Amino acid sequence: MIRRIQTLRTIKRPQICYTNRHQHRYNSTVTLETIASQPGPQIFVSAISDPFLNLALEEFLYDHMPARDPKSEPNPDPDALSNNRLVIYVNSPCVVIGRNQNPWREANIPVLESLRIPMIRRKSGGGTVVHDLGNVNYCFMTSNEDFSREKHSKMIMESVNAVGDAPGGPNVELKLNSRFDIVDISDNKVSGSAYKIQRHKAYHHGTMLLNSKLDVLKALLHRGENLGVIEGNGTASVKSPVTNIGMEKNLFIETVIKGFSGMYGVDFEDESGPFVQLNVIQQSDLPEKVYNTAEEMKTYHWAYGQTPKFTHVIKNDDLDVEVEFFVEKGILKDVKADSEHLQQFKYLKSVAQNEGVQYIGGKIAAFVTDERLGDWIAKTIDGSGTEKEEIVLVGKKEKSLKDMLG
Amino acid sequence: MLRTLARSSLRFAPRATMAPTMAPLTMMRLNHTLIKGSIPDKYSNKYTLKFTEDHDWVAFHEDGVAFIGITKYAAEALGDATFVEVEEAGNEIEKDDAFGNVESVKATNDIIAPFDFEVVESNFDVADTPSLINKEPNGNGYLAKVKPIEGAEETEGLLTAEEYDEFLKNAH
Repeated sequence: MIRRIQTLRTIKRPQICYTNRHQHRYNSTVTLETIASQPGPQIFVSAISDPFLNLALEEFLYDHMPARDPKSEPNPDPDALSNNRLVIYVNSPCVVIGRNQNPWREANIPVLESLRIPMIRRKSGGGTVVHDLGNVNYCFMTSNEDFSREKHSKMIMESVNAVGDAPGGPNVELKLNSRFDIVDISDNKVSGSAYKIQRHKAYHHGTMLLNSKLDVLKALLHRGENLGVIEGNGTASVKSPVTNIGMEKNLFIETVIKGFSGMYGVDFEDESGPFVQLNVIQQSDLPEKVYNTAEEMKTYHWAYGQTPKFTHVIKNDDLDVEVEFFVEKGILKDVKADSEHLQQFKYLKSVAQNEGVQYIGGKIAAFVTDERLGDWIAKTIDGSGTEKEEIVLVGKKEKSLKDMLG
Repeated sequence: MLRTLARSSLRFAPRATMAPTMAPLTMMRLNHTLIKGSIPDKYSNKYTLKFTEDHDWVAFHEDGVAFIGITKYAAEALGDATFVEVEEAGNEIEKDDAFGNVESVKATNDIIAPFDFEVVESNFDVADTPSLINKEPNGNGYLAKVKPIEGAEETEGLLTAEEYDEFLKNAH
């Protein structure tokens, strides 16, 4: 059942309980699709932690948000309700890359695989981020009229700063940098942003680092020299120093809700303050479409197959070998080895050129006619077959990633 | 495409790295032509140039082939492109559908088809070097060579250079 609350009372803090007058529960038979298609501003808070479901939910809400095309309205009413949405969700650990990025270049795929941390390609542009339970994801969906890169980042920055010293409040002061990223006063990034812009509507979504495990974050994205050099098209992430703002999760969520309501909420004549419909979404509320989108996002075709073409050069001094892979849409199309190892890669080369091979370590290794070389290649591409081996990350071994995640 | 971007980037301060390259509006208004000698220009040298409110340009050549790209205005508003993707040759595109996408400054931006057409060839150069769309949007940074549906030139909403100029003036 979708909990629908027409006040902000749902959030525990009494000071933003504007009034009881608007409190009203809807009939539980209302579907998510119906709610998502309604005009006017709305807030959706997901109680789900599965990143695939949350990202699919976000797309669903965006697709169903009614678009307003001022051009098709002969006399557009300037006071008409905007259909803006705020969506908030918190994901279990995962790495999320931008629409046009290369996962092999952006993340340490062998480490991700060994920890069973999913790599997810989102639909918006921008760079790679790590999600975990210590960060909150927000999404502002607007008509094109209301879209700007700056507006909502500024709102969050100002709202968080306004919380100040209150219990559970942030331990850093925030500002915007020239890329409209939210940073602390020492320019450490605390929130990444990405956008999807379409003809009539657009969204801006971002992450806010509250209490994320930053050393894990770093390890998941760090690629040592042993993983080779990748060159190709696509958007490269801009690496930035990051920090947590240390704010209490519910307080942050409440702060963003308050900011959104202040920006888009409906004012009542009795001066009870602006309010916005707030919906708490449980997994059981999700329509089949959301599950289908989530499944599509898990396919190789989407997650890896959408990678712009690239080359991957890997070297191994112990084995005295250098190999270059040519990959298009996640499919190996050609391979070049140094002159000493042509024979071992002859079979792979012919299969790659004729039918192509998915760029998965285990699959590539199967066509390499030397077991040691095959094992090394599989390990370097994505860690296939290395489950029992110890994972060495960022030069330190004392603490395993699994412990840190715990 | 880019209705939002164009508007919002001007209404709010454009991002810092973009500002110095931003030509004054009056300069841009004077230049609604294709770069002489560029691929879409020299294809036949005889073409009619039209514009859309989505900030696309279309060069209709007399043999029925057209080139589509984004206007200089749009390219400025977009900021530095990091990725350009256009539908593959042979694909049939319907009016108002997205046939391509440009990523810039962390945003994916749909490119909208102004009429029905078939993609004859997408521009591999701009796919390989996305910055080409910033440097020569009205030249070798075009997006695709297409075969428009018959009568596409008469599509409602296509603007002449003067009309597009007027549209830019009024929209901002």
